[in-house]
Amino acid sequence: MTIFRVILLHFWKYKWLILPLAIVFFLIAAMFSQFSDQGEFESQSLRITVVDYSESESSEALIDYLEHGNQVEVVNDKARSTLEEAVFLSEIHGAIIIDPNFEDLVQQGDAAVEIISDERATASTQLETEISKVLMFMNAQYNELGQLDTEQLDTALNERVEVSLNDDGLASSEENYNNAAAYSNFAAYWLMLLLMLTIGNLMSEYNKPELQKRIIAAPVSSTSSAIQILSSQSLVGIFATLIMFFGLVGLYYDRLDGIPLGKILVALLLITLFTLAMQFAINALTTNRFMVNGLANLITLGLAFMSGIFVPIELFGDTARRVAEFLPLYHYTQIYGASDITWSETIPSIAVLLLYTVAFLIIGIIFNNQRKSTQL
Amino acid sequence: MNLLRLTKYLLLINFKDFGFLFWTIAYPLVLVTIFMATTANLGSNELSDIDVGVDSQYEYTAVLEEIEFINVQEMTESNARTDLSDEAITGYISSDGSLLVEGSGFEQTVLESVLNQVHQTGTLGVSPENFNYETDFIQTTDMDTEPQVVMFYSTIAMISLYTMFTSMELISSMRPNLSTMGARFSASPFSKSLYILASSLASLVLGLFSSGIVIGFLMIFYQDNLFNNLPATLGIVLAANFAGLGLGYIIGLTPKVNINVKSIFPVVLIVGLAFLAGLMGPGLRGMINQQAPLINQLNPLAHITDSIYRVNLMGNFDGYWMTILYLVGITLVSALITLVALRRKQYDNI
Repeated sequence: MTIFRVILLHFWKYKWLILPLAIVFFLIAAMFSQFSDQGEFESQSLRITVVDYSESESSEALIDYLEHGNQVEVVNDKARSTLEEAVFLSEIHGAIIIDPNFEDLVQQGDAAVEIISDERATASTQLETEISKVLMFMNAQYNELGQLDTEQLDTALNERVEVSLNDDGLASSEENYNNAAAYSNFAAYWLMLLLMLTIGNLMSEYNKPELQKRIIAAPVSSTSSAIQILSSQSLVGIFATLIMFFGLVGLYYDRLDGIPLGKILVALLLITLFTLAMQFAINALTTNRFMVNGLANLITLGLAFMSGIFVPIELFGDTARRVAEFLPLYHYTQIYGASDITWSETIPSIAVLLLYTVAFLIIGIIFNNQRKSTQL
Repeated sequence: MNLLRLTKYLLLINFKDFGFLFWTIAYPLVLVTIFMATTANLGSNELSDIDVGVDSQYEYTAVLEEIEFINVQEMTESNARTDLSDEAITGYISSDGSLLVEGSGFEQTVLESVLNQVHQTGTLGVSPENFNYETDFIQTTDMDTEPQVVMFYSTIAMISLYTMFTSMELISSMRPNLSTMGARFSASPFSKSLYILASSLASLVLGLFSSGIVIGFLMIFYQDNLFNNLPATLGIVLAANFAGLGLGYIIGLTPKVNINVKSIFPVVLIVGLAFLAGLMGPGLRGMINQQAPLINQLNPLAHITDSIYRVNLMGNFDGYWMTILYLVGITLVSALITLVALRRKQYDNI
């Protein structure tokens, strides 16, 4: 078991990289889990920046209304370019510039505010609907009373229709499932990157000709050597998988309804095995550090993007979507593709992942044998 | 050997390394190609018509029918529940005006907002003739969002910092306690300062070359013009390549760490910084900027990304020179630390 122990000891060298990576992952996952809904209808909150040049009673009434349920930043002055940039980058849904003559303009029935937003977006329609309503109500009060009645305006604006969900329980568990699926998607990327970088660099050192010649001369059979290498890598892989899995359970311990935990665990284990097999093949092909690091980044990022981990697959074009269906990471996500998915429905995706794993193992064995024969 | 000749040989050595070429040229090109293929439709969550079921007894059906983006159809509650589950309709309005939806979302919120307005109009207590339904109280400025461009700019920012790898290798290879070459080197009369200068120059040329290739590739193949201000972009890229050199020196100084372990650090660091700056999509960047703005205020990659899109897409030079100064500052501080650490180093044994 010397090789087994040595490989594990080498893994320990990477602790100061693995630990921060794991901490950053869980911090991000925890941040995302803070935003999850709790199974009741919530109006979509808008991120808005308001520049109030009027600072009048009526502009404050408008801002007060917008502050209900939205994230509103109110400033007295801000460069137009800064507002446009924030909208352009989707950092805010819209910027509102309130004219200095706001009250007069509302009274006269003229444009009193400027909205900077992406008019194609649903959020823009929501923002315009809300502001138009308030301004129309203010104008109506000026027309009827000759002045603004903020109390009555406030009473009217607080009158809201009752909104209920079609199935409260189902919606709640669906929300839990969506959060867990997002976590698991992200966890796969993280696991693959971590394993490919650490194992890739470790094995590129291990496979160097000078060390391999000594190993060949040592009284250890190649089968025993391969078993020890693979079992040590698998042990590390399974350990990392369990951390990711129990991280999910820990973060969502109070809302596990609707989360297919068993399928997520199987998916995580399968993607770990696939990564180990793929890295085995890569290590058989090259010991070049730049290649190992480049491939680790390219494969993990490429697969994550092409499989809909970072960008929803619904936004892909037809060709990109068809390509995605052939990728292992896509099938990984399909193992827990719905909250009520059955084991029989997951079999095709599990089979595809296993086939990929076996294929890479075979490729790895072939290239490994070729490499050994050339070294001798 | 003079500086230029040494630089030329170092460049040739790097160009002959297939792994190095793959990492600095092929990898960024494949990455931006993947981005182009997957982010074409990322722009905006567009509003489509909202399909709504209403009870036959609902009194404001005629008002809803007047709204251009709402399609109204009468149905029973049981049918509506099935249609909601099948996502055939966005909401169902019962006879008392309450709304039934399948979940939270923008379309549901817009529908709720419209219904609120219908009911609030009555509560306001103003006679109908005083409402100006035809008046437009808002002046709109359309700003088409393109959050996906951040991914391309952060890729360029990421590649610009790749000089980190060559400078890290350089410093590691010069340390007698870390490499055989370093041991031989320290015993030879070869000028160390000349070697550091030539290596840094070669590394800078390679960094600018790979950044230039990716910028050229995007200029030719990306559907929109991402580089309206190329000279300013190249200025930032040059400063970023310098900063990459500096950061690589610092990593290379790490004592008693194997080069394989050491080489993962810049990979993780750059991917992590790029991740926070928007490489993996705009969602996380937006969240970080809101929840923990200090992170991206310190993140050099976020500064580079922000400056590139500002000068190119917004014509805005606010913060441009501050970013250049920040990057040059990183280089100078790193170079100073490196010089102090390497100066007159003696070893009892190697």
